Amino acid sequence: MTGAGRRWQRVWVLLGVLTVVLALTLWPDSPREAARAAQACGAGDVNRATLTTKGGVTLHPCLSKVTTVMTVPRTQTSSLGCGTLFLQPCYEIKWHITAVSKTANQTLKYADGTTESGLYRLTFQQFQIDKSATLATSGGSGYTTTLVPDTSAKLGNASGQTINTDLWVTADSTINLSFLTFSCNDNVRPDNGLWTLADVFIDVSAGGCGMNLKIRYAVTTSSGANGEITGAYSVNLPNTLLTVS
Amino acid sequence: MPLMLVAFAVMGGMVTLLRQDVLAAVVTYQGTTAKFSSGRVSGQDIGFGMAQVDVAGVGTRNVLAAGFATGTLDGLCVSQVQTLPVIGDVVIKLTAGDGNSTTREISATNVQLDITQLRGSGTGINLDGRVQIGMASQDVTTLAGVDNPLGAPTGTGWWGIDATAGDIFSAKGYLYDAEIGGPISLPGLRISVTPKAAGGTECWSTPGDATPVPH
Repeated sequence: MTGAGRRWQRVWVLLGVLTVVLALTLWPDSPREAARAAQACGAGDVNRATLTTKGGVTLHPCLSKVTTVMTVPRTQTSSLGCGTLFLQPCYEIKWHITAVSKTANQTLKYADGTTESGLYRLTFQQFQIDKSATLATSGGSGYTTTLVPDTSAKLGNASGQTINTDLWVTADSTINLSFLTFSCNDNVRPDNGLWTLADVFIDVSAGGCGMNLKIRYAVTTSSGANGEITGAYSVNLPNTLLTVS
Repeated sequence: MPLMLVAFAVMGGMVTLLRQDVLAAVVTYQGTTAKFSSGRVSGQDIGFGMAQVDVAGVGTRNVLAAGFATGTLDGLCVSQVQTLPVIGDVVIKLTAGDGNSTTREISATNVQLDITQLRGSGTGINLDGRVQIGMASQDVTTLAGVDNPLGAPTGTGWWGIDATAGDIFSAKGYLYDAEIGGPISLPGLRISVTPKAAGGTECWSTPGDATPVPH
């Protein structure tokens, strides 16, 4: 390398070092600090929702109005299609719970002051998804956030503790139950009679081969004080890829 | 040469201040994301919320802001490639840690990472206490007594997760911005500027690759 080349190399290295130095010496940038001024959920916090879990815990979250779509594709056991002539038993257990309950006529209030009625509160006890789960946002402001755990995921399940996951979902959410299977058109919605049958049977435990829940809000609670227990790590997403697109 | 000595002296001073828990830090990257990795990130009062950052020369970008009030890390690596005339691609890399996978030797308060992609391998992502999904980003709580600690846009359309505590194991990801508002302790801190042609390597190649995470 020539003498001039070496001098340029030193200049660029110096600039690189200075870049790192300047980056380290910058204090938190002012735009974000400005954005941290106190912000209520609507004027006077009037846009907070008031929700009660099955366990009796009352919460006042400020809700995003963004849906979290939890998908576990239903197992297709035949390559012949989904016609009524082809049996597609839902034998594979991709998710399981130890109890479920459903409460209709739920209304949510969102951060912008709008409300949505006709929702259902589903309560899953010891909720675990064994494979093929995807959680993705829908209705975000120009983005989609996706969470894909590639092995068994706990969404309200801890050894030695009773964990409930309360989910406020839309009426067109579906589950596919192993004991209520007849064809691949066996979606069970919270607003149809099959779910009532499911409620009766799932007092012990149940599993299924598919799920598509459109969740407006979800919260885990336990038998601890105020419905909260620490150290149980009831939500576990192993080998998980999170992306923003 | 004298200028370079001054630069190194200033950088040495900054590193000393960081090690003495005196200096808060923000590391921003212009125009493109940086790669980061850690053996384990553990936080109290942890939250994830969609937010926006202004990226120099690019404009506004949506990110998932991950924040926690107090936290510890088992090793840290942050790297970015810059293309320079004559030299070509140069890897700027910050690493810290004690090399021991059983310790979380790095501690920090008021931390925020603006992420575009994250992979937690093995145990992955653990959330503890009351976990809420679907709340507005502005309502995610990390710092006690501070509203909207993630600096998220207000109103609907901005999704968040809030938890009492959380861990991310074997974390690898991309970020636009790493901000530590409180004291940080970075044992084993090293900052290197190495041309790729001279063997400079980033923290990892792809988030799911076998490159070991720092400890």
